[in-house]
Amino acid sequence: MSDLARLQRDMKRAILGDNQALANVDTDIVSMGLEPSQRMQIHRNNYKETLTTSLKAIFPVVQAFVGEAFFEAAAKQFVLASPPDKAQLVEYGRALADFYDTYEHAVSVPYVADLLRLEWAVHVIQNSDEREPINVIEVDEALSNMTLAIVPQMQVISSDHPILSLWMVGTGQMPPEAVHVEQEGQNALVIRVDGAVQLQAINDVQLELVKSFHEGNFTGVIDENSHHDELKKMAERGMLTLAA
Amino acid sequence: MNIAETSVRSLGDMPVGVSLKSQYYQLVLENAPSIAFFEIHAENYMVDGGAHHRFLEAIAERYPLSLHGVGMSLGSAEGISSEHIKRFRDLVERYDPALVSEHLAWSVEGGHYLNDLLPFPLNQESLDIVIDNVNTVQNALGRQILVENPSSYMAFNSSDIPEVEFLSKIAGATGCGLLFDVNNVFVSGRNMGWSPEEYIDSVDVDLIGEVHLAGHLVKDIDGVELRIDDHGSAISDDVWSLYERLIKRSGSKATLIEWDNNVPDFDVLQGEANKAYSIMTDQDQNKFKASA
Repeated sequence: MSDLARLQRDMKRAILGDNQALANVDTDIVSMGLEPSQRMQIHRNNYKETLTTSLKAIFPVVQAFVGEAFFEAAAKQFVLASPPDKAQLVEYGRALADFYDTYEHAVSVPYVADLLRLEWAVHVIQNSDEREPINVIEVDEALSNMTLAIVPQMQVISSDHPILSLWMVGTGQMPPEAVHVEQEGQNALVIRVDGAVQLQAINDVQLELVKSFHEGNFTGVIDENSHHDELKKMAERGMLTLAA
Repeated sequence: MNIAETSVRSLGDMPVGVSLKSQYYQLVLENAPSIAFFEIHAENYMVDGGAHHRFLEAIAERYPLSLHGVGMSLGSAEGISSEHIKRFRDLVERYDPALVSEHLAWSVEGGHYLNDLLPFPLNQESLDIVIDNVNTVQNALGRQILVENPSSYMAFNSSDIPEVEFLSKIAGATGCGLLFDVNNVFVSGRNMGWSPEEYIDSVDVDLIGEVHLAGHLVKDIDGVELRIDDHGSAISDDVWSLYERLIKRSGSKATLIEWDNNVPDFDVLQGEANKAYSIMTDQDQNKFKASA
């Protein structure tokens, strides 16, 4: 291992909160009025603050739900435990929902993890590729040609919690008293139509069809007659296209 | 391999640009402000689609772009991520920017990205690593890049090559140019206790393909003054003075007004750009008088 590789390994560990690594880099850094640890603290703070700010920008609805202080405290733990693996921060934050699944302070708000998944889907679809959807009348031919596919500008989220109703509360479209967190779960379709991201309810059959498309299980899509009508409804919603 | 020279001729005689932020998209398209070019951060556009690309495509039809990377990690001992280079190259091919640049810094270790422009010791070992990395990037892009001098908050005991010399050696070995950030020179000089003026006077101005100007923050840490390069305020008088000193030596250079945080009304950026333009104009007139 080169000296530079060793230094960078220790600096990374120090930035991620390892105090032994911080002590290791002490001897590498010139003091000049400030202790090396104080100089490293600039970069430790920068890491936590900039990534927390990035997450706050991606999840404003969840932040409104749990409060800024709660969100920030969780985000700072998350960024230390799960550093980004890419330089494009637009792709950083998918794993925050999994973090909340086991976050001890979120036990009393178990629906927040799925709200994070929903808001992440909104974020992804805002920046996704886009394909022209097909019309209903094209579904039969695409089925027989086995060229039917789902558009890239959509995702589905299934939850044991009423995430669509909670989303409407978080975005001010519904008063909090109109929703009970104990209500049955909801499935959400997140789709970009004419440049704007929409959230819609989606039934279990359509949800399973989307999963079949994702898994490449085209036989599963066309097996049952009842799917035919649902596929046409999906086409009406702009969910279907032709395979590239 | 034939590395294309970074072309600044297309930017005009007084090539002053500003940072392009999403807040400005509509204004730029509707008002067509008098700006020579716009700078974008590459990583913000490494997505497949969406509104950012739609606006940028429209703006790129009217203005040249400067594509500025913040995540290539030219100083990483582990080399450059091939996936990141590919995404960067896709942007170069899509938008054909007039200028392409990255930082003399590292941000990636063990596949983790630390979202910072981190410093490293300047010595023969790190020089060899950076030269390899710059060659890798330029070969992948098929063109010259500009490497930006860092803003520093710490120095290393194992550094034994002065920063200006380090940058010149990279340029000499790879054919890259320099992105000369005047604010970084001032911030680093004040933080590290060396003279920004001597730095300006010693740089090989022929290597400079672009100049950056930005604001910075002054912090007091336990009685020690520290300058933080935050790109969140107006350019300081000290930095304007250093810019005049540089332009006096170099003549006109493509110059960017950087403003990434606390983003102001566009008029404020336009005012800073006009000021840089005036400094270049005055310098050109002085040279003309001197030669008459």
